[in-house]
Amino acid sequence: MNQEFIDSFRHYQEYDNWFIGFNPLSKLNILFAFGLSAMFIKEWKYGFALCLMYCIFAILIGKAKPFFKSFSVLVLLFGVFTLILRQFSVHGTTVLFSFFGLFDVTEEALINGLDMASSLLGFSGAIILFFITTQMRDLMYSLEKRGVSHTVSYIILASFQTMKDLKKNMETIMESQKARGIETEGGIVIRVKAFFPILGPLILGAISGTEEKSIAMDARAFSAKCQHTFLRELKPVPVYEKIIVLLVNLFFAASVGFKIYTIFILK
Amino acid sequence: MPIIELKNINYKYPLARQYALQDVNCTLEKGKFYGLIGENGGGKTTLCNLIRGLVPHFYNGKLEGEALVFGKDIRDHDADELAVKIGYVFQNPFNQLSGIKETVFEEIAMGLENLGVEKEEIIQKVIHVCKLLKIEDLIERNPNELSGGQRQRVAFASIIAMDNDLLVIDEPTSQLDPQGTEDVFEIIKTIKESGKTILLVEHKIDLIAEYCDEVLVMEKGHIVYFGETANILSDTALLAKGAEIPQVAIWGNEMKEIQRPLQYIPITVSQTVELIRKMGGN
Amino acid sequence: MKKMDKLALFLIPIGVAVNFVGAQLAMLLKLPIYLDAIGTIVVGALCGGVPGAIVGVISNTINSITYPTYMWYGIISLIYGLLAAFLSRKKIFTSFGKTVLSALIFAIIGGVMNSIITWILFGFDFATDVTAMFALPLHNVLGLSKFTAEMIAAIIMDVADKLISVIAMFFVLRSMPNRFLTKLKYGEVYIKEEE
Repeated sequence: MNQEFIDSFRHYQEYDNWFIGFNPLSKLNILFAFGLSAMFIKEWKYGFALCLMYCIFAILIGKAKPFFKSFSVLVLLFGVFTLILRQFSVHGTTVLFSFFGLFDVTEEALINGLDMASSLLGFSGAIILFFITTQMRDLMYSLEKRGVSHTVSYIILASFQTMKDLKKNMETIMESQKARGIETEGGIVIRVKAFFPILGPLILGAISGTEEKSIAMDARAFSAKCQHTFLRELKPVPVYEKIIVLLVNLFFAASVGFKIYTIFILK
Repeated sequence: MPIIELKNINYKYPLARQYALQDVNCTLEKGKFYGLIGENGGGKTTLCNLIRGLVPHFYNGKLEGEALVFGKDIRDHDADELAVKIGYVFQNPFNQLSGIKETVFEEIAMGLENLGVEKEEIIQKVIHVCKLLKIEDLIERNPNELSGGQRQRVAFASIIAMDNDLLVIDEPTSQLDPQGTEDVFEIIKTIKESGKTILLVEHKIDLIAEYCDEVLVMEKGHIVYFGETANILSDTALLAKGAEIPQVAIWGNEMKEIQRPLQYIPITVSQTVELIRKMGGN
Repeated sequence: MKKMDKLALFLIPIGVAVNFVGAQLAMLLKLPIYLDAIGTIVVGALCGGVPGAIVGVISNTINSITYPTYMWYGIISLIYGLLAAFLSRKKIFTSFGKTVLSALIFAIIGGVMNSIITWILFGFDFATDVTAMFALPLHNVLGLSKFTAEMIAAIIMDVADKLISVIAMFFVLRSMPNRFLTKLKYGEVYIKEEE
């Protein structure tokens, strides 16, 4: 048996990159704070600066590819699409230029669109960064250490796995139903009708295994009332990490305060 | 010392019209390996459920009679504690693993984590079980990517790691291919050598003949036969009760019919070979 | 009873997965609706409001991994779970006709809440999804206020979606085996008489 593999459980789990090695809850705190700040400070200069920061950061921590893959979809959806849509819904007066003669781009609508887009992207970018730097099982571990019941942990992790399993099952059922003559192409009524004979057996099949699953988990002391131990552990949060989190939170509080100040006082 | 004592048990599932267990009386001793056979619907799984405490705690329904498990009435047991004391492996390999651990090693360790065992002890126990059941090559694999047979072996390992006094095994090979079945047979042989008390429900009669000390036969909710394996499985009367007997036993009985009786009726291949060797010596 | 809650616990991941697979199937069949709440309402109808709501919220949170702004719509999924439980208790889902009508209730509540949240999120203006494409002409052409246009569009979109969802749920509830239903909180509503 691989001794190195077994030994890995004897120490705290290690990660290549300093940020990825942060405690999941620290990462959540930091990134959520930045993300929320973008939503509060709905200014395009701030929002896009933040997005640029995310991109650079993603490259620095070696997660460029997964980040850009997810983020670019959102840039299109929330960025470009919002911008264009706003030109129709916000009626400004200072026309800047005409977009291929299709519609006018006004200054007010443009600024509004940019502010909105940057706020959405500033929020989304942070959340994406969180999920590409954190494994679900690590997040669940940190929550359990903080007192969250392991039942919650199980439910969330099992949800991810069941999603994968059911997706596979669906593909199998779809093939077998097609072989039985269920049409999946054609008019909308035909396609809607195809939905039920595929989803029905899928759901019933999934539900029928639940009873056995629950018995099996009981046999593994799932319902035992004693304190759990952990085979796989993360290192305790070092002081410098706590300081960084604190600074980020202060920054967030300051930015919110500043925004409120500019809205109400500087009116 | 009896681990299980059932006296005048009658049980009906909720909403059911018929009794699943009728007038059941039996005693299971510590350290013995019991086989449970009989036609489908005869009550075998219900008996397992009763011993495990699922009846009455999980399935509710109507239970009459006295069922003592580890000396205490089943109704007085805490269902969750009992679930841990009695190991349970069943048919479907796809519903027994948690699905939330990324390696087989962690999967096997999970039960011990739940019991609050210290980390180093967990590691030692898991290593021990993996070596015992010869699944060392699987420890780094993702349990969700294993075949049915492999999952079943991991299920066994996960349960055995919990060091239960009693193991209930319900048709563990019925959903496996021949290779998977082979592997499970190997595991059962290993478990028998460890001296645990085991109740094995199986249709593969050769497995029962090979390993069990005593056999129970159930039909329509009753226990119709209970005794030493060699006595029970050599009797052709079993065939009328919907159970099988080993081919070699059928052969042995036919030899008796044609006036060429053997010294005893064999129930395993090795017994047959032994008999023939002795016959050859005449 | 403790054992019933245990089964509900294990149904929650299934509810979450069904929400996803339902949505994926809708995409595969190129249906212009989400169909991402079937798991929520089935679990709500069988196990009660709390499990149903949990399914909704977890699905929603997982969705936010790809579309982070969806996070804020979690409250709608929560309400669907509670609503399904409430209607189930009142035996609405035992009749096909009543089930179909209930789709309207889901759609209206969903539509209204959807537009309120979108409103706040997107700065009192339109969002970027398909709903906005309906809402825009309603606003520009018919002269309805932005909020009203958004709300009407959201409700219309939701009706089609919820109609298919509740029909799927209806058939699932009808096909559940009795011995399983006895272990669920609202299971007895759907138990069929043995012949």
